[in-house]
Amino acid sequence: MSTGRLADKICVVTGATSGLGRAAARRMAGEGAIIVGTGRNAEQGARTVSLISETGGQAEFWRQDVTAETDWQALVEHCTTRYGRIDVLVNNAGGFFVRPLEETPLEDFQWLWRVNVESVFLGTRAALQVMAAQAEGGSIINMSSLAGQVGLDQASAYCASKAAVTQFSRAAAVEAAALNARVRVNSLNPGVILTEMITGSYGDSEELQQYFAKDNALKMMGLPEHIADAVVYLAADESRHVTGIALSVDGGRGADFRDK
Amino acid sequence: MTGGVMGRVEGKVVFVTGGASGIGEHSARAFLAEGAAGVVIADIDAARGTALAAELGDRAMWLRHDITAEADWQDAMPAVRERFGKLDVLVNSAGISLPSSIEEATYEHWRHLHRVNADGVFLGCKYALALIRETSDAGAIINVSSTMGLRPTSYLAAYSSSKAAVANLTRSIALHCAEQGYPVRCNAVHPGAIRTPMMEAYLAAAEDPDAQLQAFAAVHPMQRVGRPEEVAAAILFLASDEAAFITGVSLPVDGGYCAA
Ligand SMILES: NC(=O)c1ccc[n+]([C@@H]2O[C@H](COP(=O)([O-])OP(=O)(O)OC[C@H]3O[C@@H](n4cnc5c(N)ncnc54)[C@H](O)[C@@H]3O)[C@@H](O)[C@H]2O)c1
Repeated sequence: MSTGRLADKICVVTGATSGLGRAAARRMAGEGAIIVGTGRNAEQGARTVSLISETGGQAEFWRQDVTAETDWQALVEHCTTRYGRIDVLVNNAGGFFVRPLEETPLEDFQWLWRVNVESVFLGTRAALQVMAAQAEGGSIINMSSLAGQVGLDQASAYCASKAAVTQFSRAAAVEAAALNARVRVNSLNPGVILTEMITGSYGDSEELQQYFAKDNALKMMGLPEHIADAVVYLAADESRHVTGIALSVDGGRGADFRDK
Repeated sequence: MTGGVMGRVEGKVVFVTGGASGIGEHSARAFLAEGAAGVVIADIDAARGTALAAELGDRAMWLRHDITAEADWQDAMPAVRERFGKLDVLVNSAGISLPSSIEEATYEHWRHLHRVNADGVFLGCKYALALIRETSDAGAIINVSSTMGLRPTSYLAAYSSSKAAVANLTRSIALHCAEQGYPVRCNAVHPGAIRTPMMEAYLAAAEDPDAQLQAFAAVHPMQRVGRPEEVAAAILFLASDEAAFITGVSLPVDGGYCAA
């Protein structure tokens, strides 16, 4: 028996090979969770696992392409066989690109839709089946984005995909509650957080960091750990009455237009 | 606090309006359990307030305090400074709820609800901010609005309006504090129907209390009413440094009410 706010919970984190996923996995493990971190890059997955074991946490890496339906079946089978349940799913894996709309080929839009939306659909559907049958239910956390609420320049495909995640999560929450009132579905809207996803598209200069740090009310650079703390809250039993919400962690960037 | 580990709000001083009952009372308990250095239980209900402060011990301070009286706020802040030396967190939980459609509501009723629920929160934010920004290096204000502040209903016209005022004021304060560079975040929680003395009053007034309770539960996708501990957990999260990148948000704790 471990202690902590997520003691002994089986927590699946997709895209645990870098960025927000890795930070969330580490924080959750620090709260006593048993992590199943997934992704395509086994080397980076092993790195996440060793970062967690070094600090006394429990984790394993499971190879998965989140857009592949069969990979979800295999993952669920693995978790239910090895642990007998899934308590938390963090649908974190996702993609991003910036490109002028008129230069964006249909294939790129469709690629982003698969990686950001179909993956969340597949993951939520798979977890819901397991969690609805568990007396303790479960918590599904879908990574949306500030970009699901505001229009970002040259990121129309990304903005559309994240708005879809937010709205999908609300509807799934209503449906999940009807199946088992202890199954919750929420989404998180990170503002700009400095991860490989951002530096990969915009570059990693000091200048750029300062630009992003100024682009929110708090004038603060968003860190993966900020998102990880919110993931822990939504994963833990303390948020058991919270479902269907879209929680913004964005330094107040969205405070002036937000409705609910 | 879990055996010897640092609490989540270690060392913070917290002022809770409506601290004698319901959501306020459970917030006071949660803050003390997570290491707060001091909690002010401010309320007009002296019987409940003194009993609670006595139960909670040395770190709790009882203050007879009417949130609608500007002079009470002017007196309260020096009293907090004298007792604890600083203020980090304000929780505006005091409030009242009375039913009225637009046709039933008298002007007096409208003004009464806005005086307590909106004016009281305005005064609290104004006076506490002055002390928090001067004495805290990680301050937070959490306003207790309601689902009615986001998604109103026909029979709570004045109440819903007063709670919408709180939600919008919250964002304005968040933006102001950020613009001024104050280390103060400001967020709102939006409880659904929560089983507190406030709800008990509705149940007692109903012809069939059980049917009324069922009716309250039935409008939430989770088909249940919430517990004050569940709202207190959200307030604690927003007050803690875990929410360092969160300001100007509305966090529903409502069993899915705002999603459906
Ligand atoms: N219980 C619910 O279903 C529910 C739902 C949504 C929002 N809320 C909100 O949560 C807050 C707390 O509600 P609760 O359910 O804990 O109610 P409660 O009645 O149990 O507690 C409210 C406390 O506020 C105090 N209070 C009232 N007027 C005051 C004044 N002028 N000055 C100082 N103290 C005053 C009361 O004495 C009482 O102790 C309120 O703002 C309420 O509107 C409650």
